[in-house]
Amino acid sequence: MLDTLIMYLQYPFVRYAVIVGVLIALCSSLLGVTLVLKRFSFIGDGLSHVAFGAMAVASVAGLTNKLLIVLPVTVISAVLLLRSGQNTRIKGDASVAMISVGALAFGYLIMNLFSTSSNLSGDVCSTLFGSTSILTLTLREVRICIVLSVIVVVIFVLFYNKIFAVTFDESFAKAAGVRTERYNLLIAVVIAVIIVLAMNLVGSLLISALVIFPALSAMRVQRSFKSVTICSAVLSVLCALIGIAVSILGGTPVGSTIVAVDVAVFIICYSLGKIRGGIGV
Amino acid sequence: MKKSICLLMSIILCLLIPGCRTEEPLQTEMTYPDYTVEYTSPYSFGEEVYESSETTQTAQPAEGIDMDLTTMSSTMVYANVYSLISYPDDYLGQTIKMEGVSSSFHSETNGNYYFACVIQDAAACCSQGIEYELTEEFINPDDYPSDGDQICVVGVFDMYEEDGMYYVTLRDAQLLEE
Repeated sequence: MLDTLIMYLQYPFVRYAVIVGVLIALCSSLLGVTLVLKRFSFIGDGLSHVAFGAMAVASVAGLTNKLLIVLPVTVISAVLLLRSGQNTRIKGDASVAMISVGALAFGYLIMNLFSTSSNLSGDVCSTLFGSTSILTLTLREVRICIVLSVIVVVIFVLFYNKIFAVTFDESFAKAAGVRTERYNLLIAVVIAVIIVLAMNLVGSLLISALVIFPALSAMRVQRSFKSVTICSAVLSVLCALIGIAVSILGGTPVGSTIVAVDVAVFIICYSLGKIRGGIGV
Repeated sequence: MKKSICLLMSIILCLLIPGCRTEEPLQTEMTYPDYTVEYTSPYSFGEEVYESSETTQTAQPAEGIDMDLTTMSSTMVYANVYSLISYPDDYLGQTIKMEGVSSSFHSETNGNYYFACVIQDAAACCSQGIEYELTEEFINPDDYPSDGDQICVVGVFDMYEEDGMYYVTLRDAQLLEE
C-alpha cells in the first residue's frame, strides 16, 4: 500500500492536491478556533453557499478565472454577515440562513437556466461536494492557493494578539483601545478567502466541517488559546493528509473522506477530553 | 469602513489579476469548467451510471503498457483521464489501458460512428471518457461493443483534428477480456 502511495505521489496532480490540501487545512483551522469561540460556526456554511452562487454566475459568464467574481462576492458577504449583529433589522443566524439558502437557490437556478454544460448535475454535485476537483487543479490554481494561504497565515501571525482580544472579549478590547471593527473586518475577509480556497478541497457543503471540527477536537484536549490553535492546525493538516491518502488509495470521494477523518479524530479527542477534562464549547 | 473594504478588495484583485496571464491547460476543443470535468465532444454521454471497478491492488503497469488505469482506484482513474484530456501533449504515443462503459455517438454531419470508454468519479456525479478506435479487423460500427457494455481497452494515445477541432483517441485499440 505504501508503494502504491509513493507511486501515486509521482503524479504532479497528486502532489498539487497534497500541497493545496495541507495549506487549506492549515488556514481553515487557524481561523476555525476564532469562529467557534465567537459563536460564528455556521457562518462558513453560509459563505460557502454564497461562493456557490457566485461560482454559478462566473461559470455562466464563461470566466476563465472564476475567483475574480467568487472572491469579491464572498468577501462582501462575509463583511455583511459579521456586521449583521450590529444595528441591523435582521439579526445574526437569520441573516446567515437567509443569505445561505438564497445564494444556493440562486446559483442552482442560474446554472439551470443559462448553463452551457451538458452535464449540469455533475457541475452542481462537483461544486457542492468537491468531487475530485482537488486532483484536477492547474498549476495556476495551485500558485494562487499558495499565495492566498501565505497571506492568511501571515495576517494571523501578525495580528494574533488583536484577534485573540477580539475573540474573547470584544467589549473589553474596544474599551482598551483596540479598533474591533477593523479586526472583525479582517477576520471576515480572511474567512471568505479560506472558504473560497476550501471549495476545491471539500466542496461548498462540507467546508464548515473543515473549519469547525479541528477547532472542536483541539478544545477537547487543550486549554489555552495558543495551544488550542496549534493543536487545531496540526490535527487539521493530519486529517487532510490522511483523507487525501485514503481517498486516492481506496477510490472514495476526497472531500467527504477528509471530513470523515475529521469526525473520527473529534470522537477520539472527545473521549480523551472526557478522561482528562478539556474545556467545553 | 468603506475605505477599508475598498482597500482590501483592491489588494485581492491585484493578487488575482496576474494569475490570468498564466497558461491554461490545452483545451482539445472541449470545455472543462474548473470544478467539473466532462468529456463533451464529439459525444454527449448524458448521465450514465455504472458501478466502477473499484479497489487498488498493485498500481504497476503491465509490460508494454505505459499507463494501466485498471490497477488504480476510481479517484486516480478519474484524475488521470482528466489529465490525459487536459494535457494530451504529455501523453502522445503512450500505450494506455483502461476499463469503463462503452458509449457511442453517431455524427449526422459526417456519418461517422465514434466510440468511447467512459469512467465516473468516486462521487458518481461526473463522467468523462476517451475515444477508442479498434484495429482494422473490426468493422465500425458492427464489430464494436454496444452502449453500456463494460469494456477493457488498450490503445496508443493520440490526438487528431476534425473540422477544426482537436480530439483525443486510443488508436489501434484492442478489447481485452476483463
